[in-house]
Amino acid sequence: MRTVLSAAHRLVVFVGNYGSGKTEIALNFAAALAALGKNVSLADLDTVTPAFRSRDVKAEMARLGVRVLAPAGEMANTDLPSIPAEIVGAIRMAPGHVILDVGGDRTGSRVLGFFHEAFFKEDYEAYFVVNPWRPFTSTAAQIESALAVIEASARVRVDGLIGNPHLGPQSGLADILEQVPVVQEAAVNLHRPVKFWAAAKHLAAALQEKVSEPVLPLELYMRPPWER
Amino acid sequence: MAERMLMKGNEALAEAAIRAGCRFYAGYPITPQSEVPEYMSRRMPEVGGVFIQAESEVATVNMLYGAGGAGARVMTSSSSPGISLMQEGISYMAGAEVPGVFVNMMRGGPGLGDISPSQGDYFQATKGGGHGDYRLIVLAPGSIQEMVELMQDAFDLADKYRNPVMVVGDGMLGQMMEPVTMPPMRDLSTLPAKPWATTGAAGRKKNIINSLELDPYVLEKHVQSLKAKFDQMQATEQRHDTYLIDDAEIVVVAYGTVSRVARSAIDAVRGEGIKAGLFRPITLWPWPEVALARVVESGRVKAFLVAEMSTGQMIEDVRLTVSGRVPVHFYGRYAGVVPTPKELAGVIQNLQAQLK
Repeated sequence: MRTVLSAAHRLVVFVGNYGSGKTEIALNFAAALAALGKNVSLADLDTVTPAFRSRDVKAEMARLGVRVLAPAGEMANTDLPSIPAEIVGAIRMAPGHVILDVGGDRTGSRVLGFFHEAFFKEDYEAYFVVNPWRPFTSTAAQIESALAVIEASARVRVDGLIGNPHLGPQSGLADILEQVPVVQEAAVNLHRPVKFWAAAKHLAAALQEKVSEPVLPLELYMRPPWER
Repeated sequence: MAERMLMKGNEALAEAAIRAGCRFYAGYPITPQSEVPEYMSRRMPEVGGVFIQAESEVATVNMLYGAGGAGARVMTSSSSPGISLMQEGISYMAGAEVPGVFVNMMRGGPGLGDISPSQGDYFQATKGGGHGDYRLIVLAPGSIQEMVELMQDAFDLADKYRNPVMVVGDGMLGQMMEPVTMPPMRDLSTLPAKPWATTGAAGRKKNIINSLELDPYVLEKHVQSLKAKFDQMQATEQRHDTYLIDDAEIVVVAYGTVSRVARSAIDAVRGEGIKAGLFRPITLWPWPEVALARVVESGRVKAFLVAEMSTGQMIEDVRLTVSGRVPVHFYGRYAGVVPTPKELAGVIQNLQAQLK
């Protein structure tokens, strides 16, 4: 399988709509970088959802060599629109890569606007995660307008798409392949590359045979307790 | 919009409501269900419906009273503290026989509590909630697909009985994603007529929607007619589901999120030869007493284990039905803590050891 791990910049940002798979991809991307011996932190900037956030797997990530920066203690269990100062500092100054796992949609990605100044001082790479099986991003046209909304709200320039088509852990390869052309069409219209694809690890190799861009095999961390 | 989709519970129930013909949503945001108003604010204008972010939950329920009284299919959604604020209006709607759908994505309480999943509002949903002699049909989905289906039924039942219907989930069911297949959009012209609605009295006698009646003998007659509806609901609307119950000696009784945990726990202990099964109420009210009594009368069950994300609320209904014929045990996690399959499997194993 082709390697997806070419983070050219210290700051790597994942944005996208609710439930597009940003967190799952950020976690797996960070873990893969750490496995290569890189110094990696992951900033959980989700201020809009109360569950299925990267802070929930902080200990698991630590074992994989990824430092999760997230509100601590009681504040971990809130969805308040605030980012603790130590996280802001770490994003600006942490050595090694910092992966930014941002909340969904216009509302969740607005938090990135706060880091606008830092982004101007230092270059970054930002990717838009998309799953056409999700509402509001099921056609190329919808994806294009969703991306524009988030670029404006987050004040970031999106460098490419991450194709993450799936219908949950029971998805088959056919479910993934059905939506690959939708992501490809959106990428063409947006004049931006598909940076990589993502698929549950048992399907990644099969998907790689069908697409030319690399495929990130996913370990699924964001599952309800009865599936973990 | 595609028919097959991957959806969060909160999004799925909102889309399902629109498919069921809901064209009026009022609400006030509260975690863990704010995706519902957010989704509605986006979708209602697309289907020619009305979305209102009300100034409060009290305003919300009164908007439902008005729009429901005028004949629209209406709904709101909230989470525990917000549902508490709506109770007065729910009682008014039941009294005035105004249909409407209420969704409660329960969170940890009492008081402001936390924003994590809970089932602490069972009593509130099934035993009154507001004042006066009334009942709500309370539907408790165990998956996102079932949530979609029960939302259709919720609107139909509300209209059929001219009574509010409540759908209860929790923060977990609201936030988790599962693949769903959406039913087609209902043709609004095929919905049942509402000759009682306040649609403008031109050319006919006035319709009046009101819950005030100062003559106790007249009010008593009205409450008797309400009771007749509730009796009919009890006789015809009980629903439940079972899993591996045919040979079960230990029967777990659980609904919603806990029923999912229970299924995993039952699978685990079955692997060790423990004959465990699940009884899952789908209607919390009317309580599925007929089916549960049949399980008791089968004579196979040696113990019930009621598992809830509360300190023990549904267990009272289980005990009433079981009536002391079989021991009823309890396991609860609450205040926002979701039990794991492993810990519930441990409880079943301990119970099995006691039986021997």
